[in-house]
Amino acid sequence: MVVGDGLLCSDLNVDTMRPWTVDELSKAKAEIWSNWRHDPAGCMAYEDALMATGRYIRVKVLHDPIAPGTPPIQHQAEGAVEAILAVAQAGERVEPGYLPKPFGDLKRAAESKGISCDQIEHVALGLWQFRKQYPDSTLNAEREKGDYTPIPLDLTPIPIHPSPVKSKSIDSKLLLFV
Amino acid sequence: MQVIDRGIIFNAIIAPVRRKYSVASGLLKLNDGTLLCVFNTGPTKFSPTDQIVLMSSQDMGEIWVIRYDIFSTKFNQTIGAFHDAKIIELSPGHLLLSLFWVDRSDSSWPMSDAEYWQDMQQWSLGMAYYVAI
Repeated sequence: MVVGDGLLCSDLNVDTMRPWTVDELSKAKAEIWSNWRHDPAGCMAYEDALMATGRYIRVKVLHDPIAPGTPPIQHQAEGAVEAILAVAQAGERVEPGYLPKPFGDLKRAAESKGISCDQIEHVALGLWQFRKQYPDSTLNAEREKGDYTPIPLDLTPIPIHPSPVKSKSIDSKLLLFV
Repeated sequence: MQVIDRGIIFNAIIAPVRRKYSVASGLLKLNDGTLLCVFNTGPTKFSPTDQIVLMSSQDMGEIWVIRYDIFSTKFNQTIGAFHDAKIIELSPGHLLLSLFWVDRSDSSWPMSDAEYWQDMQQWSLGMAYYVAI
């Protein structure tokens, strides 16, 4: 879910498809990390926002070949890139190269003391793929140097004997969307 | 967007140790109605043996089966691991799988904390494409 600051919130409430509110978390008796207690809802919504936004960029870029030249795709990807760059700029004020988890929202990103490797991985991959797909975008700090020569990877899948799992037999939060 | 159903695709709680950490899922509905789910999996977060698993459902998520759960992760003879798979349908019968490949030839390279950011330069960034017909 893209929010006003251009980032994708994570950990949505499946019943509302919106970020959790404090009241909802309380009613659900959700386990809250101790370092989230100052803003449980804001921290939950943005815990994986960087990762989600990076993945969103990749999905947009991958869909571009299916619908080439479709303006909304690039526009949407650019919006997400801008949001990540804004987080990076907020982190830069704290420490060069610091990419904070923007707990609460983008405006409070500089107050955050948290980051994790997986967030950086997904952000880096999203930005890299964006730069590859849209080399002329003004959002790129620099043009990609050199050309990429795809090297075939031996992705030999090894089929296994199917082990059916009935999804409805277990309560869960996993969703199917239309 | 509307939620039409909920269910478990892969239950890591009862999965083998090598699949205990299963995350970063991507879900796709194919043109023929088949649901595909691809996700990252390993024994721990950022394991040197991280793999991807591809599952499918022919009945809108009632029953899921693992289609593939072992791929060769060697790239130019270098041992690696896969992260963050994305799958899209280019056209009916043609799928595009996008992967993040990480050089894991030295399993001592850390990948789990931001303080090891400098070590991430040792990663190899690459995309792999697998087209199935």
